[in-house]
Amino acid sequence: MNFFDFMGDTNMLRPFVADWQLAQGVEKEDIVQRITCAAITERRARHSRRCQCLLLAFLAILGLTGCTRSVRPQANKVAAAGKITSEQMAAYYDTLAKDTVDVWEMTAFQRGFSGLPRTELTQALQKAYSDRYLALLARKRFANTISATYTQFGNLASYDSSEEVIASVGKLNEAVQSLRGRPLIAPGSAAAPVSATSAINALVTELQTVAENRAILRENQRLIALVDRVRAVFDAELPVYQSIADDKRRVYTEAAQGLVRGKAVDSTALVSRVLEAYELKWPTPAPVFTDPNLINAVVEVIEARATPIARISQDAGEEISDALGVLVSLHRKVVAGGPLTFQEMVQQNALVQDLLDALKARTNIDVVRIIGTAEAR
Amino acid sequence: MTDLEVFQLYKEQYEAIDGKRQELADAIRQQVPADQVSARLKQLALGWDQAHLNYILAGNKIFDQNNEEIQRLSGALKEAQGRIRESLEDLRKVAKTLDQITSVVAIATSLLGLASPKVVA
Repeated sequence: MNFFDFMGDTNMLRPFVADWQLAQGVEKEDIVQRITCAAITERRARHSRRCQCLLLAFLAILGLTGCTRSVRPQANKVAAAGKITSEQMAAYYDTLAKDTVDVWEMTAFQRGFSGLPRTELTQALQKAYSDRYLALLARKRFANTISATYTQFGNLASYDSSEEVIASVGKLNEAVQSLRGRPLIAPGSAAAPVSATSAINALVTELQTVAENRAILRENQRLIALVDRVRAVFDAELPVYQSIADDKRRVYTEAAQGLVRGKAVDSTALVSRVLEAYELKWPTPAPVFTDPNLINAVVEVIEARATPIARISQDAGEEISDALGVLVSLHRKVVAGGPLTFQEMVQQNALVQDLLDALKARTNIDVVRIIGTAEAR
Repeated sequence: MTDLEVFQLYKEQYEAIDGKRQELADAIRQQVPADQVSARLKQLALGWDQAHLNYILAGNKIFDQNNEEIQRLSGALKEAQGRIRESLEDLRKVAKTLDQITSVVAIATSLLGLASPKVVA
């Protein structure tokens, strides 16, 4: 008989114990005092038992019904998406910063090519380009800060406290087992008995999930506000970003066309690409292009090639803005607790990456495909 | 007129001058008296530089207006990183808390033992 069963039986035993003690010659006052003490002890024990039963019943209910859904997997994916988007932002700013330097250098080339002198404004112009370059670098650092924040958010979202808690849970279980070893049936439940161990495990899992969800949702909420503001800044500056690509297209095209018109460069490689498609070859040694029609044709090819590359840069900016929008909506869905589909985000990130890769390679090989993909969306 | 509209206006102005720069320079060399060519080219260069400068500064002004917000956002993001680190630490404290609960439960067990009825001699 364990402690609880013994306590439960004391009421029945009490009259017999008193009679037995009277028969043994114990004073009546002593017997009354002893019975009163026993009654107090019994009340205390009954109270403890009631508390314990309530605790175990609570654990059992949690064991049966504990079902708080963890937001960790979804938050983890949002963190990954945020990291990719911010890294792409950084890469985009890097491209813009380099393009700014290229445009300035090519402007100097234009000045020389046109035979125009330097003016008192040239120095101020150089400083304006330098300021722009520094502003873009600052934005690249800003994008890296966003990326670092998402790394932290990912750490929080991917942290599974269960491993570290398991050892402590084991010790706690042992302690509870020493309180009560036998199985418990949840009140009003026809289910199989729930052991205290599984009830405790359920409680711990529940508490962990609630704690993790609270922490993740709190930071998630803050990130929504921040990313919204990041997007507002990005969108406000987007026309300037896009003008940089346009400037680069203009100065490079003009320089290339000027050189071709001035018969200063050999355009054979460019023309050969067209000829190769028909298995035609330029005679060797290649003659200097003097035919005005041929020069005009090469100039047109330069323009045709330059425009899509500028378009890629402009599209990259718009797609990054859209990616930030999708990111905010994913954050909001984590709060709402609804189902999350990452397909849109994955496609968005893939498209931006294609555009950035094409920009980096400075080629228009996949331009038609990439622009087609962007337009199809 | 918004800053963006001013920027667009200066952009168009600069592109218009830039698009005609070579043509104008050639025209000066061919049509202007030789003793005035240098001054006219300087005039063209000045106009071209001014239009260019207006355009670049108008774009930079849009950047400048956002610099403060970017600094605020950078600060807020760094604060967020610190808070997330703290949240992570808080979660790691769960094990410690459970150890403390274990101690409390062990004490409770001892107290229940004390509360057991003693056999009266």
